[in-house]
Amino acid sequence: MLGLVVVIAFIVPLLPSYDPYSQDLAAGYLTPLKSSSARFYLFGSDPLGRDYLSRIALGTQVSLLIGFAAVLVSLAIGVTLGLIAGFFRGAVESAIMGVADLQLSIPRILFIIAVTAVIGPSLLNLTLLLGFTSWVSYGRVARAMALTLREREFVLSARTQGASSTWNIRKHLLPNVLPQMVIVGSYELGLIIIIESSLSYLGLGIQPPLPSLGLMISEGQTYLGLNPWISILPGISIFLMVAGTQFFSQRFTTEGSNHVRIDRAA
Amino acid sequence: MLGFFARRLVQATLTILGVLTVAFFLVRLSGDPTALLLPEAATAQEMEALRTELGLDRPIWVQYWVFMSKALQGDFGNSLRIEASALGLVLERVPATLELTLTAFGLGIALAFAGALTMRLSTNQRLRSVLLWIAFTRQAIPVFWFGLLLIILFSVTLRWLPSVGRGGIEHLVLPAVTLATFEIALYLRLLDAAFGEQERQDYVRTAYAKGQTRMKIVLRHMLPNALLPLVTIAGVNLGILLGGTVVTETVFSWPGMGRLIVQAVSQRDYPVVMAGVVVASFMFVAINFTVDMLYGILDPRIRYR
Repeated sequence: MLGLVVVIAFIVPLLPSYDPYSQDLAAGYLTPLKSSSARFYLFGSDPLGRDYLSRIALGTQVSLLIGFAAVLVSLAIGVTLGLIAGFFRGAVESAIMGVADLQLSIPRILFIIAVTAVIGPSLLNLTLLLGFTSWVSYGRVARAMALTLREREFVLSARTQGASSTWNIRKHLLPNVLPQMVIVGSYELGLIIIIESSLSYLGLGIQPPLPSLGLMISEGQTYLGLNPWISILPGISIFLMVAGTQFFSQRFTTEGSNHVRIDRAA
Repeated sequence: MLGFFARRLVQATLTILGVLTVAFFLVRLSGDPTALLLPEAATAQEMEALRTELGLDRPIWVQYWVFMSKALQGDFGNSLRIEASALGLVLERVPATLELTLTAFGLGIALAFAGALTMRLSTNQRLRSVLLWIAFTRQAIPVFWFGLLLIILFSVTLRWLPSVGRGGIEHLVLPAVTLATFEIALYLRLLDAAFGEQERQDYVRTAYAKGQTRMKIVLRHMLPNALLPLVTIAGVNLGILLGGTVVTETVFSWPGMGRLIVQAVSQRDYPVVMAGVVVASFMFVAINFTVDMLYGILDPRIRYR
């Protein structure tokens, strides 16, 4: 499902009709499958008469890119902190897990809204904020796995042969937790796409003129009686992306361990 | 139990102090508010005077101390836009938010229980997979878009229910259902997984072996045990629910604190934003504290960790 959306989002720009920016005020608010004097609009047009299919395709690309970038940022932070906490234990572990608990006690969307209010909305800020606020689930799973891995024979034998902690974490722990991290990541990707589109809907995410699915839905809300498709179509794209990522992660977790399931909900 | 209570209370207090610290640094990051507060033609002396008045010329740790002691007394300063205390503006909106959140939460939990028990008690496997599939689908839909779909169907097309504002029960239906369906989807899947876990336990097999009816096994034996994971998740999930409320309030123009915060952000009214975020976090921590206590009562093992 996710694959389908990705393929469509990247094929549409190859079509001759692809044009997400040029306006034609005479051809605004067109419902899908209508054509103006100039051209045919498969998905209709937005209030400024821009081709909606093109805008949705570009908006979907933007969502996917932000999502992947944010997942990579949070995965890197989460794995590093989680492995350090689980490997060294003691005060380091308490400090890292304390920060994680603190972060969980501020609802994610509210925290991002508060910071955005201060530093202003931009593509980079949004991606980094999403990344920085989403590391906790990776951190928790990585720490839990590191706790058992550090007692395993191959780690102990490396240590008795004088391997440094950094070497042990990098060569022995990291490869063992990465597959699990990818599963957490695929679930988080869906969540992040939802959060990003919600922020864009509130006007605090992606900024115009770049098309964003959330903002397009919010623009359409003014014209629900005239042309509800302006709000409906971008949502379908979000739904397909998120359902796709969840489908992927669920296929791996139904047989997986229990702590992954609980951490996903967290 | 008393020690457990005390430990959790200390933890909750530390969390609140942490949230306030984060809020302090965010406000400081936002830069010099004097430029926002004074007219553009203000002289350097005027700006200096205001800075002294606001305490911005003092060392950062003194500012931190003043901010914390004021915040703990509920003083977040005045709104930059209207003459009123930021906290007062936020607290004014709390009842509307609670009305929406609690209705959605109650509705969601009740229906999820009804659904999960039906799935367990009926032998119809197709019913179970259809319900789980619906729940899965609902979880992949953003709250704000689901709300809009409801508006399109029930307000624009059928004209049955109002789509904006707060008033009688008819105003509550659409936003509450929007939020509740998300809750149902989450808890239905969680409860089903928890029941599945219990089904494999020895005590369930024993109960079957001595000829207990399925109805009794599910309700008397499995249900209390399946409740535990639900209580843990419910606490964490409230954060997601609060986030969802912020968005839902904007969709339906519901006059709650979520909408106030979003409006304050677009007006760059930082004191109101911070007061709102702190109040929301405070509610969240208080609820989680209660949930922890509940958990300690339900499962005595947890107290001794």
